[in-house]
Amino acid sequence: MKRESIITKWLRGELSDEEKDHFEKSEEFRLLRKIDASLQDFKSPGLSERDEPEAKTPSNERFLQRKRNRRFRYASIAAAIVLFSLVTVLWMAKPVTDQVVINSSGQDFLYLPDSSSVSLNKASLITYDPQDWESERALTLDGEAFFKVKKGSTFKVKTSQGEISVLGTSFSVTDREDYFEVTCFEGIVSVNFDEYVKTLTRGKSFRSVDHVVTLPDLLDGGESSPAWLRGETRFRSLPVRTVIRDFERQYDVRIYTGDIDTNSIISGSFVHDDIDVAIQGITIPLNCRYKIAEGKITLYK
Amino acid sequence: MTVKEVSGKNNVCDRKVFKEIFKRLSGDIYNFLYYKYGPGNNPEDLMQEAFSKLWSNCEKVTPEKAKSYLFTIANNSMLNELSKKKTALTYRNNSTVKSSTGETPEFIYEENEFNERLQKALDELSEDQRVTLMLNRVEGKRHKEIAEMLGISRKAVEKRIYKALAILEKKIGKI
Repeated sequence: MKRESIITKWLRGELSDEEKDHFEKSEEFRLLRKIDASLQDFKSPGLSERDEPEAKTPSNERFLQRKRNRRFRYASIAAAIVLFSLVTVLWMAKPVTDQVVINSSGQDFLYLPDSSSVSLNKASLITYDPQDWESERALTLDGEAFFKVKKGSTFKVKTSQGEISVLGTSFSVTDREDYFEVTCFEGIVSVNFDEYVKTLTRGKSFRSVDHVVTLPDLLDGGESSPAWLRGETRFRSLPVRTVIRDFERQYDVRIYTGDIDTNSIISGSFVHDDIDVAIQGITIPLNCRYKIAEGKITLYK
Repeated sequence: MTVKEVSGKNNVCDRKVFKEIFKRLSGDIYNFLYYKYGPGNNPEDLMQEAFSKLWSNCEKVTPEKAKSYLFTIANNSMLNELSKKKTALTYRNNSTVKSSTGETPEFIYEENEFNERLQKALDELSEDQRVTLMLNRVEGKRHKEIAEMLGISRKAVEKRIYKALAILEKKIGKI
């Protein structure tokens, strides 16, 4: 992009005299100059006393408050680098590394760029690339460490013997009359129900129907979310009346069951976008017939 | 940042050396915290804290490493403080949590409308963009120096400044 390279060159101070001339006549340059000038108003107040600054707590929470006395001056691009001593020269000559190596002789603690943290035990070593952290959270470990991982993309720890990936957590919860169910899709969740405390891992469910507790396996394979998010309600071994209530909610209809036994257990599914097809998802396993009228469905043998 | 014991006298336990480091870097550390996280997060206190941590660990740090050590400690302390703050907000009042995420910052009613728009635009830059931009345009730090201060490449510095200016231009529009 032409504009991009001009600005980049300008930022680096690499514009040729001709390019500079041309650029300085542009509208954009005027705006950038004005921004530059006004940015000076947002300069930090600096420390109160250079040698022994007092601990002052700013009273205002607002960010980058303007200074009281406005002084317009252009930012000097060529700042003077003061060389105090050989030590300073060594600092400036230090190559910029793009990998950080933390080596602990005692115990050590550090924050990673996303605020996840690592505690290192003695004689342990971790390596990671802070620049790359946003796109990939991965580090290598040699030794012993304790990790606290913030929510985000997959967090990987690579060791010479194996690799650890930190997964997220996702789960569904159903809380309807006399029907309570939790299904874990990823990670680990803990369910507290009456006197039960149950830990669920991926694919496991906790269910209570009329206060009868079971631990059914409700997921078939690699689903990562419940079917009702994808236009279909699935039910496995549930009483008819529970399924019917769900159907009524889904289609906003009333279902009359006459003398059909609503306690019998059925399995199946119904779609969300076609009531005719959907009701058969119930009538077929139930082995009965149906009649659809305005806002109501009647089931009969 | 290596934390091995440094043998001999090449560490910052010398009062004179330490004082000189303080004189030279206290401003930079303070500015870094100020521009990145704002005045409301006690940049001066945390700057002081970083130096006192350097002093407590003086045997482990050489003068050459003091700069990156200080920046890392300062940033870590700030992140620590901020994560404590977040927790405090969550438990105190649920409604506060909602308003603390994604609400636009208050306007300062200033006579100068341009600065008003600039204020808002600055608040909307990412922390990294903002600190890089301000260190360069206001504090006059060169790209190379900023790269060392923040532990990133010079190219990354240029990118951030470019992006920040592009965002400011866009948000402020015409003069």
